[in-house]
Amino acid sequence: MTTDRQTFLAHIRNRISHREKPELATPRNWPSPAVAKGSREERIARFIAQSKAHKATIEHLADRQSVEGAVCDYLRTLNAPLQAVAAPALKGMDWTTLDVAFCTAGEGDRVSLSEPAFGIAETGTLAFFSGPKTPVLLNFAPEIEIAILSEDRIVGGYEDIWQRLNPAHMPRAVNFISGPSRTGDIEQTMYLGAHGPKHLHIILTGDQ
Amino acid sequence: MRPKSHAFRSAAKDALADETLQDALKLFATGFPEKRRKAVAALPEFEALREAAVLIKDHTLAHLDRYLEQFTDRVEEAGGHVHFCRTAREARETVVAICRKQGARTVTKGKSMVGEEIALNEALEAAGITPIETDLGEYILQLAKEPPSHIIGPALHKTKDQVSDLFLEHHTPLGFDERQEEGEALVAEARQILREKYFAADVGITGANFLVAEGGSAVIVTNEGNGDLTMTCPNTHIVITSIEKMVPTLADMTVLMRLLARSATGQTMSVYTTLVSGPKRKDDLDGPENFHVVLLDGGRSALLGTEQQDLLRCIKCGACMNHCPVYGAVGGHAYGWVYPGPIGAALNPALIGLKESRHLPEASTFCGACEAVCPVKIPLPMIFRHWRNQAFEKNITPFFIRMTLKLWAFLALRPRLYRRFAAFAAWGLKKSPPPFVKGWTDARDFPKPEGRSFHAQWQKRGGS
Amino acid sequence: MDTVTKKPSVGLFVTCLIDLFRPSAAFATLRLLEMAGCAVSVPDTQTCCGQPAYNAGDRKSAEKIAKTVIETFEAFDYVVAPSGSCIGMLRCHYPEIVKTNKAWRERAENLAKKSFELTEFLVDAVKLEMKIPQPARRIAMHDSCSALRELGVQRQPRQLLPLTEIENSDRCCGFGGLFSVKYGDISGQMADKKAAAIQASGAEVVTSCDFGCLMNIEGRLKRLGSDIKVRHIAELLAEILDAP
Repeated sequence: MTTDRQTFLAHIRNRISHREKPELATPRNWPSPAVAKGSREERIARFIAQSKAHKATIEHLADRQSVEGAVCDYLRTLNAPLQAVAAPALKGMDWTTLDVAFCTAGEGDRVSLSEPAFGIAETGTLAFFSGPKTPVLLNFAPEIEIAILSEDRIVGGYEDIWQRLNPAHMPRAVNFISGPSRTGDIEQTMYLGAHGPKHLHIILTGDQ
Repeated sequence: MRPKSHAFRSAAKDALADETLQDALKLFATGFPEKRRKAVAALPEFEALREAAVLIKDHTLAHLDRYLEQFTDRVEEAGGHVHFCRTAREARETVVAICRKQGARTVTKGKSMVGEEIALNEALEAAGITPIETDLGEYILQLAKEPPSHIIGPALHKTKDQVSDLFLEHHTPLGFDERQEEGEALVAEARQILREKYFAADVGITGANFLVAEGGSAVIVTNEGNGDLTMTCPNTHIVITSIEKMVPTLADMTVLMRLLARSATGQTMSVYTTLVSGPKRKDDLDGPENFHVVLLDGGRSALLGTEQQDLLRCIKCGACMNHCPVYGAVGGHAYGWVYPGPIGAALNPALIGLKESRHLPEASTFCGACEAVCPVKIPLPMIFRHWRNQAFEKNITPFFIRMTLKLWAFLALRPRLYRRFAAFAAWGLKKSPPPFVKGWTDARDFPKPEGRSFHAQWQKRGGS
Repeated sequence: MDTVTKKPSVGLFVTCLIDLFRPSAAFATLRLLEMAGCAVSVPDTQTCCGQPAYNAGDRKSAEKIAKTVIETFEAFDYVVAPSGSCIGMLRCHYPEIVKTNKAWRERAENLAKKSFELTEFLVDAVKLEMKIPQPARRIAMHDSCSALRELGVQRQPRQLLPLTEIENSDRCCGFGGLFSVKYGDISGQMADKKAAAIQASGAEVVTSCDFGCLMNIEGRLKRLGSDIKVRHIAELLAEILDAP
């Protein structure tokens, strides 16, 4: 039914054996956007501007103490219940008003709290690495996702992300997320909330 | 998908007369090119990235066996499986067998052109498994029982009005019996219906935009998030993809990623870019238990090592069709197979045969707009010429055209005879256009010569 | 060689369409080249550049024709044609067509280097510095695909003449040689879009560096009953410079 691996690969090898074999320098030195290389302040400013350009909402807090209040206020503006599923990575924070369950998200969950591994200034993108404390579906199943990101997790570009990963041992999933879900499939008009979250709210916290 | 490319001429005629389609195409013509132009202008490094992309792809293709091997090793180390399929049939059967083994009854699907190529939905249905398309465009087309007309916006040929009708017809039995006319309401309705499907499905099938050899990773890019729900909720994830999606490293993939969304939709990044490397890990709270990659050759390896190998650099962004005036006139369906527009016109002869698809490379003015925007600089017009040459050499080009060209070349090589012919033509065309230019005269007046040809006048003046 | 006083020799490549349909554009080209101080010859062994054969897949005929064109024109300092498409053939495709033979390839590359479309020749090669008076009429510019994308000619005609821009000026008019007959309906729709853009620009005249595009555009404009004039850029330039 399938072709066995050796036969398949031998066939490919046979096709290309007569061609020249251009080599690439290791490590690579590909051009990368200048905007991915700013100072800390520039990175933060660009991350905020680019996130907004993707139609994420973002609020900037001095520290993590006031996160819960901000989450509740935000949910009230959307008339959403003060109830959320959250990444176990956020267990260490104080949750008193909000009804929080630390688990992945299911079909019926409306709100999630997530903790991205990094924010990427270049494109205003959140980077998530899957793991026991950071389940993937928090980013996709609910209608409202609130991502809590600390300022010093904002890196310049994608190269900075790869530096922190070992390609031989990748997380099961690396999710790059740039704004809320959308579709342009009906007459090229953009509508938010196609399948993933309709609202992506980023709470950016100062260095505490 | 059964090719209908041989019927391009009549399909094109129908498309030109289809007013609804022409309305949809009018919207299409202004959208993507302008968005791409802005996105490219905002990234000074764009041109340098294109050049890097060409180096990366050429290198990868020259070492494709090695990278396929590395990728496979990594996937297997992570607990996944890679299946090698030379033909569409092998790929179909492999996917069906995996689904059967899981006892699958429903399968959710992300958008996959390779899935279209191997007619996967038909195969699943024949095996008693229900495939559910989750990309909104593909979902609309599944309801309409139509193939995609564009590789990134599969339903761009449909108007909102047509979507309203389709939803009303198919969703009424599900309890949605009000005709929605606003786009937002249509999107919300599809969201609601598909939501439970994600969680109920036994298997999720997605395509892949890239495969990264060093990470054993499949990269899946969407704007809707349907790909991630499809690959994460069910117990089994199957990636159905083709060999040329390979890149060696994460750094290499980044170059292509920076080009992809800008070229396709004019976004800096699509909303969701996911690198998935194997099944659920021991303490993970979600993710599939089983992870399979089905790798299709499907005729691509025949391009390796030939002058048309550049086609395998394609990252399926759709920029060539977004900028193609012929695609803009007739839409994607006229091309009669999975890949429409310039990339289809260049690639399909290799995948489905030149006899079936000879019209496609002929239906070009060689305007070069496709090559100018291609992020990996595929010389598309040169490849059209290659296929035209093949058609001519193999007598696939119709006899009358071949003879006319031969006669004309005979004259062009004999200047004195040519002058006599030109004098005759100048005289004849003054009176009326020849009958065989009806294609021209249906829409345009045929030009009349001013009088005697330049060379005739020049000779008379004694050449000064 | 005394480059200061010696006039550069130019072989004028008339092109088959202009030879047959619009000789006045070739005479205008001659006039412009002479005004620019060139010694112009019109070799009488020329016919066509071979593009119809090449584009239709008859590579063997294209190769034979390419070789005769190379033989005909390689002795000149320059070969100039009032056509982006034919020069595109000489510059971009001849070296490819004869590539299997090293000697021919070198000859083709040598010819490629001295092949110029008229406006780029005037602006870039001889650096024509002539005061061109403001034309009385509004002239719209259509960029031919070959001139624009094969040769990179865009700035040059605009530098010579004040031209009105039309919407999507870089979009193909639908000519494409045999395409316009074989796929007449698609080609006709493309020509219609181009005609509409020209009409919307409010121009009284439309011009281009390629006569192929112009005969397509003119055919559609005429069919629509438009009185917009269609002139090759060589004709317009010569007219303006010759005006008293």
